[in-house]
Amino acid sequence: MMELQQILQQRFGYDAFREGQQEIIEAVLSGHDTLALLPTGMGKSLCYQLPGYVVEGTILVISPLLSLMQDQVEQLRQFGEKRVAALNSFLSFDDKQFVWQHFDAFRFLFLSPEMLASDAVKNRLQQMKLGLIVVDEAHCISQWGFDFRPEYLQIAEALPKERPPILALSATATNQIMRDITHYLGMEKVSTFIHSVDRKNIHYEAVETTSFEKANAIIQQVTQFEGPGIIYTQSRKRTMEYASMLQQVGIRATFYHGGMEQQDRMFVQRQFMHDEVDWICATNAFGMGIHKNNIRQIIHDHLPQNVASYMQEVGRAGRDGGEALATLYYEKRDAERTLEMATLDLPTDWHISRYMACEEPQQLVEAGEMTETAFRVLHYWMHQLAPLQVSQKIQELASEKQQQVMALAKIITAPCIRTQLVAYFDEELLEKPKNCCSGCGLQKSEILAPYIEKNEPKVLENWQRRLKHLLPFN
Amino acid sequence: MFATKLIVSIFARYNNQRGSSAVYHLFKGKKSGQTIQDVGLFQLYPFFSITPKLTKAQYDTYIEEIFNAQFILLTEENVVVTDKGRQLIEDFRPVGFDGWHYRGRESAFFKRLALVVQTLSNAPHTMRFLPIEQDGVTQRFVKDYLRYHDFQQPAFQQQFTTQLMELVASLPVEERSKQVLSYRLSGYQQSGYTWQQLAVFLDEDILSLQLRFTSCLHSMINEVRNYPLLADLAQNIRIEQLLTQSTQKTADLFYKGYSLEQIAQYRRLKTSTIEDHLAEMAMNDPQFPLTQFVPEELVLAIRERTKQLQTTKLRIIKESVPQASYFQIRLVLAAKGE
Repeated sequence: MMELQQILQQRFGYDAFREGQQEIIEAVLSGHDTLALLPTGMGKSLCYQLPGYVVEGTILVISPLLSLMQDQVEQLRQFGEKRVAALNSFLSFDDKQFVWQHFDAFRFLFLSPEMLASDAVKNRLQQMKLGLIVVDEAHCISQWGFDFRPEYLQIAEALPKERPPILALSATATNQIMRDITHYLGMEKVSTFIHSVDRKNIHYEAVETTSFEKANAIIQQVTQFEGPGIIYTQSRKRTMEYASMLQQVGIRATFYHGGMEQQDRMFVQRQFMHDEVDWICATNAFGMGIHKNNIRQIIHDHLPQNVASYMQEVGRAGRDGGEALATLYYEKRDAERTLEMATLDLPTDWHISRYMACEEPQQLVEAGEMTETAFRVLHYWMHQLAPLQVSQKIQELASEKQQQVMALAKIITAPCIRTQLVAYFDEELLEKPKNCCSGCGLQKSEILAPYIEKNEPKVLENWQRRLKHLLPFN
Repeated sequence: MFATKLIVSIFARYNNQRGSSAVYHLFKGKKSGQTIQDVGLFQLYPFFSITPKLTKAQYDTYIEEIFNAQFILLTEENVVVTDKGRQLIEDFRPVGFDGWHYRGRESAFFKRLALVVQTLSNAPHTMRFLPIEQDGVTQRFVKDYLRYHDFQQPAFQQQFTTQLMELVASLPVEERSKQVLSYRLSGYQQSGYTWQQLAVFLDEDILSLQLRFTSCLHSMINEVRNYPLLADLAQNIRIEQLLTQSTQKTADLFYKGYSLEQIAQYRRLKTSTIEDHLAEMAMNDPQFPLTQFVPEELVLAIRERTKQLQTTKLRIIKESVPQASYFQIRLVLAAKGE
């Protein structure tokens, strides 16, 4: 197909498809419901972006996270697309009005699943010409996924009877989750594309340590080997502590967490992308919308909650195809601690009784009695099952979470981390790269170049010079 | 240090007559009778609503530091500025603020400015950049503005730059405050700095830097008239309607001839609330018919006693002028003029 190549080059400025993209796009264009698993960093979005310039009608994209949606809209605008918009509950009144008035004129329209539940939106969708329905992060539909979103279960209901093909996208999914996706979305005669979750250029390392030694080990590694990199930690406070420790040894580092004001978060992202800083110390809030190709290291100072989110975080490294190292520092007690964190987001029996006692249960979130995620889960199941069954359901979910944590704990201590990671997603590893993982044995110095000190200006310029640099027009 | 000085100097203006959360309510722009009235009483218009996002916890930590540094004493009811505190603020002039007329809306002006600067900075290199401001209202405003001014023309780019440089140069605020402003802007391959990063570079706490930033924006918008390309960005930012919404409704009824009680009944509000509204009106409107509520001689008596007693505490004044009601005293204190 000559044509696709041309669009790829003219619209998006790429010379060639990346592995897997072309087959998926061709399946979609030939009218098949399609399920595609492409690991993080492999160019998932292109699989629906490009068809936007081939098919007739609007490309409807259902996306779970506001920040993700915003990011994808911006990405398309950067490719020069003007007919793109997102409709979600956080839009200002004026913005909503604007989107609503031009609803069927967009080439790409992003919706949150909540929006899809509204009758007005459903009616509008029935009447307009849709070219393709995309369900992004499709694993959210499965209660076995690490990021279950009950609203996703209602997607199929909201879609028009006569519908164009569905493209379900996800980074990773086990067989069970894949079955859930095609079932709940009502997909028919599905073409499935699974790209291996294995990324040959990422080398996995797990290092047991003590809380006493951990920070030192991390600083050692950062001052010895090249960045750019991300250090993932669990608390906002730790992000600041790591950043200031690294700054003290001359590393260009800063921190990022969800509690910072919007503008500051934006600044940090830009500084990282423009190579103005080399290391970001962050909570898992950092990552979405970071299109940086040359990340060389991902460091975890803890055991993440499950294999999928670990894969997502380390998958941000080495998108340029160059070698990258993912190091996970863990302590003996980490599995226990992580499990505690993970179950914070699950409702308890006490929450169930509070939920039933409250006229407006939403208030429980505002009053700080339960987290938003916990509420979302509880709210959904209370509408599906009797209270006693809900309690049982939640116990099932809790034990599932426990299994997920234990699975990752087991993988990082296995004889070969790569083999086990791949096996977790029901794949088989055919070939091990050199310096595969700490299980097989690896030499950091063969993967990474040594750290080179960068000279950072220690003082700010005065405002006149700063403004002149921003606006060099006189 | 800037914030410390500002807070101490406001407590000094309160003249030991207000408790520790008074400044918090002032900075947050609380629309209660007491806070609004104090604004008039102690001439605190510039500082009303200058940090709408400040949390009580942040404020309390700050107050504690000021207390620990012995710039203030906390009694049961009041904050008293110590001699050390008075020394601290001797040469301090908090210029540039005009909170009363902006109340947080300066941030909309800054968003527009930031997006225009970013666009112009990128223009010679690329038009495909990630906009620093994501909200659609700002984006559409700036798009219209740039299109209208033909922003690709070097003439516009030069004029804009000159006007911006001249405007900033003319501001009465400290150089450091201008520096903060310049580093909250971003451009081609130059990102802005986070508050935390600026705090490290400038060795000053975040609240101080944010207050400096706000003073810069307020004075910028106030001076913008002579710089037409920037004046266009400041459209609909200044608040000309100064009464709070509810008070405006009361005012409309009042000037149609309704009495206080009638208004309360009609609006289904407590009389005391309507009294708050009238006090707010008295404060803002030089034409307010004060003598309709307080006889001329009583006005004079209250003013005289207030001066003698050096106080603005209603209870003390009331003891000294027992024939006046609390409401009457409040009105007199709130009303402008002598």
